[in-house]
Amino acid sequence: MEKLMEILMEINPDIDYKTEKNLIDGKILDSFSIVNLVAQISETFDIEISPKYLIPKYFNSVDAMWEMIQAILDEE
Amino acid sequence: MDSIWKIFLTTVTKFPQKIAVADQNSSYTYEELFAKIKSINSLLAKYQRKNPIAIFAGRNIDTVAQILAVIGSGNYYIPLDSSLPKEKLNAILADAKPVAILGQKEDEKVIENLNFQGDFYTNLDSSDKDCEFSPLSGDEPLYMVYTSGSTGNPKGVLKSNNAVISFLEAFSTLFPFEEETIIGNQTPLFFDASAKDLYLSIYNGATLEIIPTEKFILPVGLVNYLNERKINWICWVPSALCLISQLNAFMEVKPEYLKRIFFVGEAFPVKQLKKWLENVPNAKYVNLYGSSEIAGVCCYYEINNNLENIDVLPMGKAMPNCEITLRDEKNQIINESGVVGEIFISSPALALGYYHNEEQTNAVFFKEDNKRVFQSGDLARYDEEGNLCFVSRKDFQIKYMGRRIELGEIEAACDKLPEINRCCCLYDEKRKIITLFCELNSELTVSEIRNLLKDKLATYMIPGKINIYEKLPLNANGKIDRQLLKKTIM
Repeated sequence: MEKLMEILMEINPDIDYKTEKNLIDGKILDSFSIVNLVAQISETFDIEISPKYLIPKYFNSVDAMWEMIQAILDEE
Repeated sequence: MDSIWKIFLTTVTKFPQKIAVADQNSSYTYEELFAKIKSINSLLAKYQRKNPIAIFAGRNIDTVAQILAVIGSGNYYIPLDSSLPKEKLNAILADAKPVAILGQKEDEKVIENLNFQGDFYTNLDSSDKDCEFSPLSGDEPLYMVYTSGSTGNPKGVLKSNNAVISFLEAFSTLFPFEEETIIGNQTPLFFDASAKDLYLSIYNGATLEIIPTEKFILPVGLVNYLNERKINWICWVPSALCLISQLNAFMEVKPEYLKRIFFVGEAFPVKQLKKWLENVPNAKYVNLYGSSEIAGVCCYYEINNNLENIDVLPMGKAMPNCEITLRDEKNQIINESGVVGEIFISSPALALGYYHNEEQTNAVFFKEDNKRVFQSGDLARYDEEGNLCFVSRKDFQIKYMGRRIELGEIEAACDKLPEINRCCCLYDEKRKIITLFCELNSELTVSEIRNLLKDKLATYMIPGKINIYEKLPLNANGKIDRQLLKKTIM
């Protein structure tokens, strides 16, 4: 979780990720920043995020992203 | 035809029932759009002709109505991003002195904080629909866009009706529009690049679909939206196309209707383009190149399926309405391949110049054999097939997310902060991050610097990475050693 936080802080340090539950639907994450985010998560956790996960549900909050990472790790 | 307004009226007569413009929630047919314009226009009738009117452009159909209403009223518009920092908006308004601003309901708060004394309208609906139109035409201005200037002062580029029409004619002859073209607009309407979508749509009687910004955050939803709206023609920045291919969205869903895919504003990585060609093989792909100082674009390169020996996409050949020469430092024309020279453009599509700035205008626009020529500041060379290939900018200007940014402007903003001793801004091409190197004279954290810069710069210009140095390295001339710093980010 800490590593995920680090990645997010690097992308945009001004977001309060601990409380924010609406990162995508609330247009809080910038357009195009997801490319960078997905690349860094894939590299850091050594996973492949398939496009079926690329929907708001899995990116709206840190917890959602963390659950997605765990789910992918379990699949592998 | 000599005015965009006349072109619009012709299209209204030809296709009254066709959808002219749509956003996520609503749409106007050409007839309805004209009615909406009339209701706005009667409010603008009190202004003298030939004045600038600013528009806080949103991603909705009413912004398009506002733009056309200004044109019909005999004035020219300045599209603006109301989320720019207050300081920057004030500087632009002080330079342009618009007689009025048209905007969205949510912009009322923005206006309160600006030094603007003129009229501000949001709810533009007058019952008086019998207004007269007295549009500007020919070489009279159509709109003005502000670009990043290296001194940090805003720089307005004025474009005429004739310039835009020259582009529309050339482009539509080269790439004819089909009967049912639906354009998927990606670039915000406050950016110059969106003028291509808007005017090509009107000129060809097409439909302009304004895609909501949030669709460009995640790729699967974006492709679904393209399919839902049957979008078949796009002209996007490569970053937007890469969002789809890089994240392998094609595995989940494919664009079903896309037939024409244009890209402009920065280099499209060949690896990503290959993925597009594999997954959307029936579309035509064209790389475009332009500059704020010309209406539309001036070069095009049609992609054929064989990208084997290509590392970087060429800019291609001149548009039919443009003459392009490469010149060396002595103004000698270069014809042989491989030799780097500066791009000079001669075309009826050239901008009129920089607003209220004869000195800057004369520095890059000049007359030669009775033709106007623009010296672009871009360096290029010819490949073996005679295609132009981009090399770099002459100065420190970069393209980031398709937007033109002067690194000097970011440095100028940083230098204004009393806490920063000196600084240097570089672009990390590989990771696509604007990096700031600075020397401080008081204790300041990276996020504090970022916060201070927010009041001075547009969000997309705020450095993604900030490196604080106790002492910045200097070269033999006593200047900040950019080459050495560049190595640290390579």
